[in-house]
Amino acid sequence: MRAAAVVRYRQLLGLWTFAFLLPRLPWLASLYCRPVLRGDVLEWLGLGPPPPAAVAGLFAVCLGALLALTAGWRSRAAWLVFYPCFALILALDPFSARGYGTLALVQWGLLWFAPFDADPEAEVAAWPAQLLVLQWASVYVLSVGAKLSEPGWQTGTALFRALNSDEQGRWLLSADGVSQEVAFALSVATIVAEVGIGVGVWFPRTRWLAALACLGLHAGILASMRISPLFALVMWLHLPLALALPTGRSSGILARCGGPSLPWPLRETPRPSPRSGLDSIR
Amino acid sequence: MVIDGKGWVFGAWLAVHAVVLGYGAASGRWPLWRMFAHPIGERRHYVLEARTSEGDWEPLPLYDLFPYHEGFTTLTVLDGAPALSGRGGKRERRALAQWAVDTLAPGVPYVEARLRMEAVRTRSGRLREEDLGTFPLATRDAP
Repeated sequence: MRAAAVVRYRQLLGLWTFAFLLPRLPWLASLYCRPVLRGDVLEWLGLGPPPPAAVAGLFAVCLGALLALTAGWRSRAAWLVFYPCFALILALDPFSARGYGTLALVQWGLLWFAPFDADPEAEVAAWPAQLLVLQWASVYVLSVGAKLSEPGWQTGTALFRALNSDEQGRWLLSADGVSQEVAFALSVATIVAEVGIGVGVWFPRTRWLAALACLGLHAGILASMRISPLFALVMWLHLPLALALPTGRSSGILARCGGPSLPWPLRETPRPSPRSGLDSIR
Repeated sequence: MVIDGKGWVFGAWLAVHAVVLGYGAASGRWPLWRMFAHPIGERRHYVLEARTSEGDWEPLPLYDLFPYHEGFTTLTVLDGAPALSGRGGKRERRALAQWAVDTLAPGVPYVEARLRMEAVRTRSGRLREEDLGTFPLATRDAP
């Protein structure tokens, strides 16, 4: 595959990380230097709150390295500075349990293996991009497991609560509230969409459908729930990379794992026509 | 199993996930990405009150200490704090009460502080109150 997709992914993830970090800047002392309700790591280590100057310095170094990394200036060296700083910020962060921050940290880590500093026109190995997409797709598949293990998702009660709550719901499409029946239908649709995204992205014929499902799922969430747009953005920014994965029969992870070859409808190679077979005999 | 000669990377990825999922299965809680698997069914608001030596309880603006809202939402650090929303956390709550009173009312001779949670149920609109603890305050110096 061409390196351009990985380079673009690095840029998009960099912009997203700016959107994640910059709103914290006015509140550094409040967030990171408070002696109570802190990140788990400091509690675990038994350390006191860091001085405000140290936190400000940490952010300055992290954002400077992120700027270089996103812009492509000595990006491999910038990654080495940025990644430990970003990991430390998340470790100190009282909001570290937020899934999208953790996902971004994991993806920045996996990105190290990818040729994100290569010439965009160069042909590069596909496996690092596949690994990044695998991590992204696993979020959907694993969250289906979490949902099915909760009785609230089997009856629609979980979404009913979320969409009707003043804190998370009653927003644009759900402004007037939703019924239990609608919530149940949305629960089923959400689970089907999440399975479809996580699995469909690996097959050339369903890849675009999976991308559309991803766009629709998060657009629907944004239009009906009061949740952070950072969540939708971090999931959406993976789509260009997923769509750029090689689509040849032998390029998919399933094929490369030595697994069974895909059935004909899922392959890109056309089924040979009987006539051409006869022609070859003649 | 070879993926461009990097099958070990995918193997390591799978192994890490298997270990984390196994740990989660053993602890009874889904360990990885949950994506709204368990939305809470109530709107929670935390209240801090401090008692004067005369016995009067006075409310203090606890949310003034947590001005940051996560990811362009209304969520503050209080909303995501396991010490307040989960079981246990008594030591953290005591420290929070002491620090909040010290910061919001320095030098005021309060005797003790208490934390409460007021939760409005989404389905019924019913108000639920939960006492999160009453804590004697250490002697404090005037500013």
